[in-house]
Amino acid sequence: MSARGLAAALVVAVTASAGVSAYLKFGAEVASGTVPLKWAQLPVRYFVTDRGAPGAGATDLDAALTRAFRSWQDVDRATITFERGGFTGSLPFEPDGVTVIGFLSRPDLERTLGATAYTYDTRSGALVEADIFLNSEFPWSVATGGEAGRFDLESVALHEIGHLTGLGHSALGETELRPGGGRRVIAAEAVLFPIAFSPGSIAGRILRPDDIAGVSDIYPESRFRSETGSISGRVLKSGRGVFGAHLVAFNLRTGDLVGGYTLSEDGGFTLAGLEPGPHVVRVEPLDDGDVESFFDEAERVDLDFAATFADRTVVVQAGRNAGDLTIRVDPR
Amino acid sequence: MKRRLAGALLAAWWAASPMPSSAQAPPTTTAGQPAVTAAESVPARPPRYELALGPAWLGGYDLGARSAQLTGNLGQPGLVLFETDTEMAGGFGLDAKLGYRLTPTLRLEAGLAYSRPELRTSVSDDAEGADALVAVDPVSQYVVEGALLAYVPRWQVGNGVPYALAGAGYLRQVASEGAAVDSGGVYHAGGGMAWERAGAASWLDAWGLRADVRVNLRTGGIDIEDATRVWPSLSARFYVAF
Repeated sequence: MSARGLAAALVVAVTASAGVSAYLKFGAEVASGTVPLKWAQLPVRYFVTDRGAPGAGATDLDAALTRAFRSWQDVDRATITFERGGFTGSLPFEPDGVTVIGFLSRPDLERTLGATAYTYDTRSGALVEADIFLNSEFPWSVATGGEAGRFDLESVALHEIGHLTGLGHSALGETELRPGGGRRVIAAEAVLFPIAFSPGSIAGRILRPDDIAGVSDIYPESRFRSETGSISGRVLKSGRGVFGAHLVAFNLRTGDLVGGYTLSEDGGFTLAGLEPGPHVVRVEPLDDGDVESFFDEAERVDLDFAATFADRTVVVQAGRNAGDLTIRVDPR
Repeated sequence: MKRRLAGALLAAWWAASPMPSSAQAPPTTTAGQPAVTAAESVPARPPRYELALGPAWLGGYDLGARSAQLTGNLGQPGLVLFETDTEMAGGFGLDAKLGYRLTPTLRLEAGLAYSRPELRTSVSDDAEGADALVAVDPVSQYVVEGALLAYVPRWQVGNGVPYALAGAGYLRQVASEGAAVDSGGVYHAGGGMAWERAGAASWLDAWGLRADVRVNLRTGGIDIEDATRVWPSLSARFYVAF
């Protein structure tokens, strides 16, 4: 391990990496700067802890994971692949160089259904291990159509495996504050939205265009760059760049919504992995979740502006970048 | 629609066929007096080529409405983040044609048209109260086309000779400040009126004005769905024949 650093972290994005595009890719600090966190060796081999939880035995977990991994692996323009190593007696979050997914009892994390921790090579940023824990304190379900009062295991596994690939949280969703604290999802359009649908819902089993664009961007098939396009630009408030603004590109042809963020002090952004066609671009403050669940430097994120549309329709062409879109926002 | 276009062409051909050439006897009025026709001003040697240039107006067409929709939580409908309604707005352009007179009543024509329509998307009903606006992207539109024109002197009005036309072309649209290029096909049919006078120079056999109205059909190009779009256009051209 002398050549490797250990970086176990909950789902927190590293930001300030130039060139980071749509959705949110995790970044790794290496000697040369910040690089996207990703697997260098494929397939990603994983093991399943031979331990169940109320509502889901170890074999149920194994089957749900198989389905969820397959969903990510089946993304057309992404090269990532996975390989099931079998059951193990090891627990997740042990830094042993082995990717383990399993239930843990964490009553202290009363609002956390699951989390992902990484070990990466500090020289290259390549992932070495990514463990996923699922909190056995919650009621789980593997029923085909979902089960009232229980969280869908496959949906939550799909979300966490998205992190395992190197994706951060998407902000494509709307929430409301709950009387007892926390937030409740009204609607979302990304599996990687940080707050799960209510117990009983199985809507989180299907990858959305934002998730698909994200994983394809990290592990692109050769045709990904030639078959999709991107939009670049800046978000300005009173002439200055806005950091941490959430953007969404809406494809008028397909109905796809793909999100992204301004990730530099000059308000620069790139929304990549967009299907060709005319797009409407909208920017809003990151106010539908805890800012900390998106950025580890929350104090830099500007929340004081009103949701705004770009005054230009942008036609995206495959293999090209439509640059120089400036969106001016006003303080609230 | 193809069947209708073919019908229009046949009708034009039938109407044009009995038309006498300028070397034949001019048509007469019901009173038996020679009619004043455009053909009178055409020289004995009929001009073979025709060069035309002029402005054109293109009508707009609707591309459709779309909702930006998020998947709803358990037991709830999806949330509409905002609504959109998109159109290709009309505008003015420039039209250049090079024609070849197959017969005194039939022209074969090749042309290039340039226009600058706007792709306009009205955005409204934002879930978080963003101000509604119209997002605009100017589009540079080029059409290279060919057409067949059939003149119908027997339906002459004053000095104007009516004609019918139909053709097809290649459409190229450049949007988002050159970042996006799309292409498609354009088909058109219509009719117009031409006023011609004999030329005063040795190289100039005739000159005149033409104006026509068309119905255009487009496939491909910038759109939000795979659909055929229809729009009208008007054009007026000054032309010289030699």
